[in-house]
Amino acid sequence: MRINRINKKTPPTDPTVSNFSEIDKLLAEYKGRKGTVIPILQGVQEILGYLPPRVFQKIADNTGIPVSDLYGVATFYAQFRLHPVGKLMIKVCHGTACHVQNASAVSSAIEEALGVKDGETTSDGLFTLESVACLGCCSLAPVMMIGNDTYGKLTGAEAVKIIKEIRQKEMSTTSDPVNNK
Amino acid sequence: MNDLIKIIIDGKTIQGEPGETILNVAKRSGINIPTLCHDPRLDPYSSCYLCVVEVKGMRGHQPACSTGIAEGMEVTTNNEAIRKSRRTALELILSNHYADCFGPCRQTCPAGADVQGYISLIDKGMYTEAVGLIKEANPLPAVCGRVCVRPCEAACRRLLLGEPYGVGIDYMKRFAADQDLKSADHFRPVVKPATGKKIAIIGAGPGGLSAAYWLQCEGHQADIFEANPKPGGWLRYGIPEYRLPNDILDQEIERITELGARIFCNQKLGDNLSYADLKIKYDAVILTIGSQKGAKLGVEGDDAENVFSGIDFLRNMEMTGKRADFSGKTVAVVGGGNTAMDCCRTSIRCGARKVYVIYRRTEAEMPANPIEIHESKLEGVEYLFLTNPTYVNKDSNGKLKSVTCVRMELGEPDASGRRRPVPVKDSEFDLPVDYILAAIGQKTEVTFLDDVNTHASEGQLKITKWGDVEADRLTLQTGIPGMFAAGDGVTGPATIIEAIAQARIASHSCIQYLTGEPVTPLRKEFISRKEALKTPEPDMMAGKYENQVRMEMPVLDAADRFNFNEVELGYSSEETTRHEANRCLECGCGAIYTCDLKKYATEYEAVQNHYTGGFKEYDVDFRHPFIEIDNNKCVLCSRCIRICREVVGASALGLVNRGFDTFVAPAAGLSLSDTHCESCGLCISACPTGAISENVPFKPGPVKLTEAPTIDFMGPEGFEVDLKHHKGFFHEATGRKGIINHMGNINRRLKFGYRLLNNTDRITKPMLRQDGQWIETSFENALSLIKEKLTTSRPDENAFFAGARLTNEEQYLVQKLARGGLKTNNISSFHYLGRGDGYLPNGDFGVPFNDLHGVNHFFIMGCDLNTDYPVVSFLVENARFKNGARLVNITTASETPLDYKATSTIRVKNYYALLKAMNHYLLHAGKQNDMYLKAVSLNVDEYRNNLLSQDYLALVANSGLSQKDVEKLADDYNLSSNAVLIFSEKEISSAASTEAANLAMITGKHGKTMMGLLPLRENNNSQGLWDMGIRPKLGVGQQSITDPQFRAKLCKTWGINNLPETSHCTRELLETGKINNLLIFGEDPAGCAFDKPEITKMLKKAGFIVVMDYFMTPTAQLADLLLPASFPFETGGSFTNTQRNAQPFQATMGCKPELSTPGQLAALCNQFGLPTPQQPEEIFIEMVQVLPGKKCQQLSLLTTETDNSARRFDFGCDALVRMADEVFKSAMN
Amino acid sequence: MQNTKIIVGLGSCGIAAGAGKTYQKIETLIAEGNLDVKLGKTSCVGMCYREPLVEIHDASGVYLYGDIDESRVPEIIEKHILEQKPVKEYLVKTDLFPTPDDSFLKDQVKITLRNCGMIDPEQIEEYEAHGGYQAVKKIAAEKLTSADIIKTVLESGIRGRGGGGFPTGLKWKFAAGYSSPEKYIICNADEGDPGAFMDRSVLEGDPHTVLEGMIIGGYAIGASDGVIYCRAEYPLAIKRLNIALNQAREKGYLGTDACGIKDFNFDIHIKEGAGAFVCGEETALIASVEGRRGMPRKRPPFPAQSGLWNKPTNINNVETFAGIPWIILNGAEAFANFGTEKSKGTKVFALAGKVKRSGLVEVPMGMTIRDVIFNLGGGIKDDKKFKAVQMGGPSGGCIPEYLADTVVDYDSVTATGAIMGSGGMVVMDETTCMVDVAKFFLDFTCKESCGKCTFCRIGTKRMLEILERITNGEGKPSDLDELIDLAQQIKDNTLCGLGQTAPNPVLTTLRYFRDEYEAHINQHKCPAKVCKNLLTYTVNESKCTGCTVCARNCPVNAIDGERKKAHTIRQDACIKCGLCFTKCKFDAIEMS
Repeated sequence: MRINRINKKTPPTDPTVSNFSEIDKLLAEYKGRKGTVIPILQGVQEILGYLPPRVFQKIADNTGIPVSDLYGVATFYAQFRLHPVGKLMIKVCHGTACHVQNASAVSSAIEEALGVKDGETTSDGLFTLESVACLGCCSLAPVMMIGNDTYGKLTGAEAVKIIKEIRQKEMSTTSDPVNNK
Repeated sequence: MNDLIKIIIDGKTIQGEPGETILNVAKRSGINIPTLCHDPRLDPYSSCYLCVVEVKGMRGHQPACSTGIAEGMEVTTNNEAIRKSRRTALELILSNHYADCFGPCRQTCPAGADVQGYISLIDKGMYTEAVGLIKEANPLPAVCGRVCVRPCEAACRRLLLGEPYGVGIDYMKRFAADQDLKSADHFRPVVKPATGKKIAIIGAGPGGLSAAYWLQCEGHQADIFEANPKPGGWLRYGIPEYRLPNDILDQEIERITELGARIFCNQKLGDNLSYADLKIKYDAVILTIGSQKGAKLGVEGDDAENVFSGIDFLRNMEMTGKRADFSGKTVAVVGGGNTAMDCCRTSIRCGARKVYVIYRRTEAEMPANPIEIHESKLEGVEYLFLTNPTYVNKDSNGKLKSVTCVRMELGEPDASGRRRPVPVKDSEFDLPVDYILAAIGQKTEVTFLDDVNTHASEGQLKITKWGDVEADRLTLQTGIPGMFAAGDGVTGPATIIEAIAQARIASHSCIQYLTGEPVTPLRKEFISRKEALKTPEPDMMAGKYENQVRMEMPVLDAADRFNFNEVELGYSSEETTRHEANRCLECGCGAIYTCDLKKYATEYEAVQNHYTGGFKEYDVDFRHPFIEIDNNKCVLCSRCIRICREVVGASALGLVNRGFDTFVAPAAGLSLSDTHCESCGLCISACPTGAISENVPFKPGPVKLTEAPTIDFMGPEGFEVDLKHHKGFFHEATGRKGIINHMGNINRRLKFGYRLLNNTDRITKPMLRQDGQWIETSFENALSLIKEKLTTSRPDENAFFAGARLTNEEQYLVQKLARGGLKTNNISSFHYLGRGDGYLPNGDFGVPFNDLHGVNHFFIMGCDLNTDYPVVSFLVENARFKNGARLVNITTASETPLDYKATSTIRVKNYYALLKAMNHYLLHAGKQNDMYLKAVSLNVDEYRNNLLSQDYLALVANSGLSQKDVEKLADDYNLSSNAVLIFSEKEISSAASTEAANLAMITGKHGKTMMGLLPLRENNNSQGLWDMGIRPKLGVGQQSITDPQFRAKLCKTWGINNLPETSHCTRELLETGKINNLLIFGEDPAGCAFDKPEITKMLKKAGFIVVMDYFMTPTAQLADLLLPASFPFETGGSFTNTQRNAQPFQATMGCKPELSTPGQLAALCNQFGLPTPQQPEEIFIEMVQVLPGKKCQQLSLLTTETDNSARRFDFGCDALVRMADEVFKSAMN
Repeated sequence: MQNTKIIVGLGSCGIAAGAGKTYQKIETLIAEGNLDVKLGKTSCVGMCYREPLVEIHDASGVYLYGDIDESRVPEIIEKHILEQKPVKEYLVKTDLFPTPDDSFLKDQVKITLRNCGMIDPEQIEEYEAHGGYQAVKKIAAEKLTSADIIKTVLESGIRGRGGGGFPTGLKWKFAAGYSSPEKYIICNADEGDPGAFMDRSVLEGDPHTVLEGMIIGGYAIGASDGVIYCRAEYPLAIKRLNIALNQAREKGYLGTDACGIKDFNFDIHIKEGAGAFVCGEETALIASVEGRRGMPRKRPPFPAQSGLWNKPTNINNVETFAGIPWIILNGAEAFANFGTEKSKGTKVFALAGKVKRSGLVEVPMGMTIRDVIFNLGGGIKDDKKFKAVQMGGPSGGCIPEYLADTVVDYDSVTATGAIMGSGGMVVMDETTCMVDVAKFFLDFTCKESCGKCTFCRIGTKRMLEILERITNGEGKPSDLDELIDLAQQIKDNTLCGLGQTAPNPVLTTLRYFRDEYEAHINQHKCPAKVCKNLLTYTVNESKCTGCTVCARNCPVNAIDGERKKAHTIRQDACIKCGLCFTKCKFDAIEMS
């Protein structure tokens, strides 16, 4: 008899995705075309904000692309997220120019202020903090991007100040930031 | 033909084909380049960078596996820089290889005993085999099973699970060793032929005995000289009998002397034995003298009477055979080791009123085995911890009166890491005692030094500053060439297992010396150890294994111990032992004998922790019932992923993440069993390490496996396989490259179905049903009973059925028995029962497997390729991967395993109607290949007229497709170049099969390269049924039984003068109850029937049923007499595959039943006056004599009238296939 | 006021600096004042250091203003537009008088960037007005053959501007040599080097020139389709490319009989990358376009023979394509007149880091690095000491100050151990720790390794770990030999450029700044005072005034002290962020 091992792995549980209709539309658009894995995943992420595990099977069933390929691609490229993110992405640039101008101080000040680490989302679901390679605004280093707005020539304290202002504004305009995709 | 390319590899000019890689060319010319990621079945990849070579003019190193050759290329495959790169590659991989080659038990064992291996054998009840394995490292398992200090158990990872005890390794070892000692057929090692070399071994202790064992195994004569009256050394004179009974020791010594080793007692070197003699008579000497001089107590007054050294006390009793009498006395034993334990427990047994153990530290620091301390307390020994004797008080006669002791406390740790005891001031006290036994250490006695050195002609024997024999640490060579030393005499007092380990080294060196080789240390193989990266901790183990209680050793009741009876009684049953075996966590890797990483790491002397840093730790994924994934061992060569994509076509596995975080997995946390995984096991075959392995239901060991090459006996392709077993227990089945199996692939049925061969309920003796009970009977009785039954019925009241899984030889004998012996043509197989003769030509119609790689369009009709036809399936998939071949799946099922792979799936109602409609369309539209038809085919007009007169639209309607789709499909097949229609007899009726053949001819595709038809039969020797005459009307070679020439040939060959003329439909005879005696060889109609009650009823109409099979199948249960069947690999013979390649194979395993299947059939034939050989080769020769001469067959379009899909049995009516598929199905659910 | 036009620079960098708001403000003020002024937009002119830039064209001339954020707009409108008095203090460039910024532009030669900051990138007509699509028209009119074009490109001497430096003409010749009904030309716009942004600027500022370059290349090699593989992180570039593609299709530059050349059926599509540096490598890029993991494979076969979908494929980067129309129009010789013997033409550099004027510059090959940094870049920020310049990003290396007279061309730069790369130039001063820089790049390549090759996957990680040990003060003297040894082996034993060049930043810093490594290891000191774990911050009580600035700025509240009394730093809580050090006005915080 073999040793009695305990199976720890449980199948992934998904937060319910209420509506696949937009995804169906997207998949229909790409039907029968080749080289569509990345655009499909990008499109789905655009719709859902991230790529929940269940969606891979759905795409696979529709396209005939093996799940292993889809998942392999989704985990290879930095753009794809397998977990939900906050309403606003805080992207702190860690490109060379930013690095030599102390971008790490900016990151650590934000981490400290928001109580999250790189890649994590604040408990109120408002912000997700992310280090990125280069935003291409080297002349304004160090730089961060919140949503679509870029902020340059930062220090840690300034970055925190900007974030606090945004949070305040968000709190006053919306009561439930989590569901506000 | 392309021109060959010349390149220079390592100075040798070698030719290669354009497009070939350096690796291929080098390999072909015998230059070995290491690689982990290359698999000849797959496209080049280049990830491991082990195969790097230098190419002149190119920067850096090039991976040989993907660098194409070019004219004039100069390649260097081996130099210092290349070796360094390879070593670095290995070291980098190993720095992230959090895995163990061996479990901690084996790593910790000084002798390196393969603990996990022998536990796996013990678990299977293979005790003798277990002892054999143990003896590779330790020739004294029964002794060690009792008295070893068991570092293995202390290292056992089960302790990390929070359990109080490690696995009871020694208890199991003892059980196995005792079973073997008791066994009439005990383990005997393979002994090499005598070399004529002689070795003198000084001392018959554990080291000397062990050295003698290994030397004898190598064919050298080992003579042991023992100073004491009896052999055993410390085992006899140091360890009391209640722990190690002398008879056990004697038996184990006997196992060594029976190999030819001799023991001369009362011979003491330097005393009554001189090196001068040894030097003349012996070719080498091994000193295993032990360390036997007891140390004194070492305090003032220790010369008092009744103060002894412990070991002198113990030895004295053994020498004199007299027990000491301590009745009513008080004994103080000083010391905390195992000798102290032996002394105190012996003292109790000698009647002492009170026994103290005085030890200067606490119990926690005691070196003695905890179990010994525990037992001694049970027996009444009292402990004085943190106490040290300082003075022995004598009376006026110099006799011991008392001992003055001082209390101690623990101070700073000393060199040994233990806290140093320091006396507590003013804490002296007096302890009145009658005897003191000092068990505080031993010294080595080297009284023969002068004798040896005086007579040594070369070199000198030296003594270390501790007084031990000086020998090289790694080779144990002493200062005198040809003289080696081992054991306590070298190391100072140590353990038995260490002495044995040393003896191994010394005998290895000695053997080298004797054969004239330079004396070098044992070659160190690379061992991956988790500890090299990080010592496993409890939280790394938590939640991964179930807790299991240790099976405790039964012991004598404490009250019954005032004697020298063995206290530990040994495990009482196999069940208890198996329970304990089950606790083994199998920490060691299953791939140690096959792992390329280990092989290369050894070859390149890689160091696992050369590069240290972060590493990944993964949970082993064993959710798939047959395949487990251990990413810790993965080298990311992607071979598993690639083979699954390129050959299997399932793409069940993929890479997840990137860079250092990459690992192999089915997607998104899925289990492999939730993917398109076909459980073919090719991923396992592709893995160069143990990262993907078979999830076996038994303890894998691993143990060294023996290959039993044979041919697939569960499918019709006839692919070559190796069954791998250890002493008859099957561990694995792997594909073997061969004529059929170019890629060395395998499928699910055999890859995992081989496990059925281990089933313990195999029928090995004839069984007779009596009063509803099965009773064993002899072959003689069984065969004469058959004769009696058959001869009391009329010939045609007997019927013979032979299965498609029988060898050609066996099938031949069955029909010989029927026709020649019983004079009946009632000979058939259930496999084809009532299905018509339309399948007959299928064996000749197939596109050769080797052509499939060039096919561009596959039309697959009604068959589950990957389960039933792996070779074809993998060739099809590879063609799809390589040339983008199209796969059209045509099926009547609503869902097939092929759906997801197919380029398109066409769902139809009836294959026969479809094929006929297609033929109708093509002929009607004039799209047939007239030129072809004219040239090769008969009956064209007849066929055309008949077909075109039929109702096309009705055919179309029956096909289940629209007219447009039928015509599109027909055009598609007709117009596609390199198109092949593949179908299986499993789903396609014989009439449809005929129409398919017609289609291939109408389109002119049959017989051309890489196109036409590929009909596939069901079982491994379905073709044999046609060729061996398992048909009422057809004899051997498909010859008509009414053909007078053939009949004459048969009569002559068989030595008879008449043969039955008439033939009947066996199905009708059965159904109408006209059969009295029904003999079924290797088929399971009752178990495989679609309509089981109906078939059972039909079978039961026979009065007397004989069934021959491996297991108690449902058909066997209906029998009156059961005959045991032999597996094909137990007898050898030949199978004819679906492409009509007759392939002989040899017997590669011993035959379990006393009489094999051909043996029984031959015996039956002989009983009926047909002289018949038993050997497959001879049967084959006889069979060849009655074959027809070769004749060219004229092709012909054959008219069919109606469909005849009368298939009644699944699994080709074979119990083994049925069981394999059922086991798989239930495992996956 | 008539004929007055205001143009706002709306490149990504400008927008980041607030140009969007500036634009809105101007728009508002024009509307409010009902001014007869045209408002237009352009892209980055390269003077990122002065963004937001606003250019005013009026009867008196052209005025370029810098640093015009929203708040300064009213002043400019008021004074320049209404009062017709240029605001001197914000002027960056004018014909009226020289400005200090003139030297930024003076030595530049703009071929690639000829239209950047000049035209509205969203108007094809503006491109056409600036000579756009004249090259393809020339091809059509003069019936130039594929061979003619390849000959011109070969003679121009232009080499791949993406980093490899392989002669573009040769590459085209190979691709043209394989015949196939399907053939692809790919523009690699997956600019991944941290510290490089010229491709982004070109795509945003002059998308049509890239398209035109691709059309010419496509015609030359006989391609059936073009693909622009652009990183998704450049949304503005993608947006403008899409606009440009639609305009080009409408005008017939793309599609059936493209540019009016008969049987030249050619279109271009955008594929968005998804974030993987390794996809800059050709075979990985192809894998990515096909929708697979971007993992390189062994070459040969080269893409020219078997590339996208196993068809002949040619890949060039943005900057290379952008130069092609100019070469066709002006001739090979005109291009070859610039540059050095083996490196012809001009090269765009992204100047960043500790340099006064960071931005994009295009200079003829052969200019010295020192000239680029000091003449164009204006020298080192805060007049600190110039220490080194990093060129070539993660594949490149650091060129020390004493080699600053090295000229920029492929071979000279390579000789220093760095590479030209795509043109990132990150300037470093005395406060930059070279070990930290090496660690930074290795961390980058380590994260970006695709994970295929053993040496790259594990080797770079082990190198990084050694560097981490060194910067944590746990280095051993033997670590340096170990680093060099591993670095060499990684270079020798990997499949693609990423792995083969990953050790370069370590090797060059070790070559030129070994003393810094040794200081970390032997003295546990970071001479540039960057490596946190080797620093301690303390308060000099004699200098501390108790102003509480440090305590208020400390992100972890590790500074105690009452107002007007000397403060203290609790070392166990200090995260060594250095904020107190930078904030203290009395130099009372000391770092050691």
